[in-house]
Amino acid sequence: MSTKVTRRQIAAGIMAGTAALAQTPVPPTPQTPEDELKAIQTQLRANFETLRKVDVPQSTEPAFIFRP
Amino acid sequence: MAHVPDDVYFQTIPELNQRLKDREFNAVELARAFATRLETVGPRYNALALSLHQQAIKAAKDVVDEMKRERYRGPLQGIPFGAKDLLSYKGQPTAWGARPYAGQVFDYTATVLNKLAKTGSLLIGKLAMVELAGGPSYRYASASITGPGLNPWDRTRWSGGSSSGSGIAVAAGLVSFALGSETSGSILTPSAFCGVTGLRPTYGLVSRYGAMPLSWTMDKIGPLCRTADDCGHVLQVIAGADHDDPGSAGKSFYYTPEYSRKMQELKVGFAAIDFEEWVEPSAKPDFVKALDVIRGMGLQLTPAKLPDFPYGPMVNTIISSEGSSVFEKLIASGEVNQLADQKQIAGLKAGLEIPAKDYLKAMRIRAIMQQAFRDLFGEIDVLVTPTRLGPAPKISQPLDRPASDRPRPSDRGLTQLIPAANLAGLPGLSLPCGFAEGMPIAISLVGNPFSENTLLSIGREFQKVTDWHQRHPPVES
Repeated sequence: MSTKVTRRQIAAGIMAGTAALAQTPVPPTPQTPEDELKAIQTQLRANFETLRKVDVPQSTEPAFIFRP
Repeated sequence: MAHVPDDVYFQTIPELNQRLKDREFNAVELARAFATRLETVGPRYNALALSLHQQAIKAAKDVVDEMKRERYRGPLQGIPFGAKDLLSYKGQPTAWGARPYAGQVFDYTATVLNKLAKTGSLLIGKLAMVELAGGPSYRYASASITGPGLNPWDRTRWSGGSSSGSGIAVAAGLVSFALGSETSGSILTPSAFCGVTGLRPTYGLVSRYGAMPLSWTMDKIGPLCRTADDCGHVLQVIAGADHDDPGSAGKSFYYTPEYSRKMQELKVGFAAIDFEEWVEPSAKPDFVKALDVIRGMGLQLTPAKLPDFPYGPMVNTIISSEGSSVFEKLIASGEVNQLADQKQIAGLKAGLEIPAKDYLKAMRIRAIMQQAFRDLFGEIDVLVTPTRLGPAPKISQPLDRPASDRPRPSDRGLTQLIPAANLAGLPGLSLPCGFAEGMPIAISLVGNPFSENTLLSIGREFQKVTDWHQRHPPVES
């Protein structure tokens, strides 16, 4: 008998890892356009790492629908 | 020619419409009064992008003829309004708040403006906005071709954005109502900071055709008004299916205040920590009183928690990916460097580097998150939280820095409701609820998809027992 995991179960079990807000220090304001770009690239990479930790069932489709 | 008294500038839509029917003044006189005020006063607050005075007078003449024949089209007939300058108006500049698009002219008009025109409401001007509706992010209030939106309550403070001109114009009585847009906060924030009532509709309820896209899966057009009731009247007109909008939900909206559920039947979820620890100390007294008012209305208040998802990373990934794709030509051409805000420029450039797998991951988590919200709203009807945690910041303050050095509570309560609700496509209503440091503050109600009538019914009842929505800043003509 196969056990089908429901979306509700996955939603209840997801550990987003953000439950406790850390008192993270605020980075300094970038001074040049190059620094600005690097800061945002760093933030985006941090975002990707956070999203990668979220376990998503293989059957989950993205939240958009193609209509012919 | 009838004199238009000054009290018109802060009246509700039905009040103004009745005065037109009573022939105290006519639509041309009213439009002229508002349009002149918008032209004269709007620039003081950097609220005006483009005056449409002449066009409005021309349209108003038709309204005068119709009303003389008692051909009435509804409460918006003859009512002057403004529209965020991301909505196209045929033959006139639509600059999106951004220097690279300053001379842009479309040969078609946005669906929402066509719908309003059919009811006889009168577009008197395009209103200022943060460039590109805020893009992925921006650092300063000056991120606009028109300069920072100056709050009409205190010009040293920001109006909020990205619908900055819309919030200012309604608060200062320069228009009877305004259209804004929200991807993540851009209707509710200026509504809260300027002390007006703002409604973010369910995603897909209002056509986006003719509106600048920032994030195809998150953009919504909605009204900023003097009251929740006014928001209902405007939404009924602008909502509805549109084949020209791929994201259209195919649904209409009928504003039905006469069929409101009893307040005692409604369950309202809240997080005490929002009102006790998250809000700025100066704002806490009026936020706590607002919660007491809600309790006193008979609503069943019950503790609630947001489903646990990484809302910040999700919303940043999605808006950055979609927004940078929208503006790919702007970025590739180098014209992106003409924008006013360095963080905005960098964010658009960096967005083009986001791998497809990370965008898709965010969108897949979003699907699970939507189900989690459906489960949450199986238990409650509405969530309530402070729209913003304190009053509007100073113009010079970087917007990506915390307002103060106060330590943050470890429990985030419902403070992530703006990104969460926008990711889930949920409607939200911001209601003025008090003052802090002499500046307006507001609470937000968020409900299930297409529950706008429920939100508006609570908003109406709240505004029957409070008068925050009737306050307005002293503005000299």
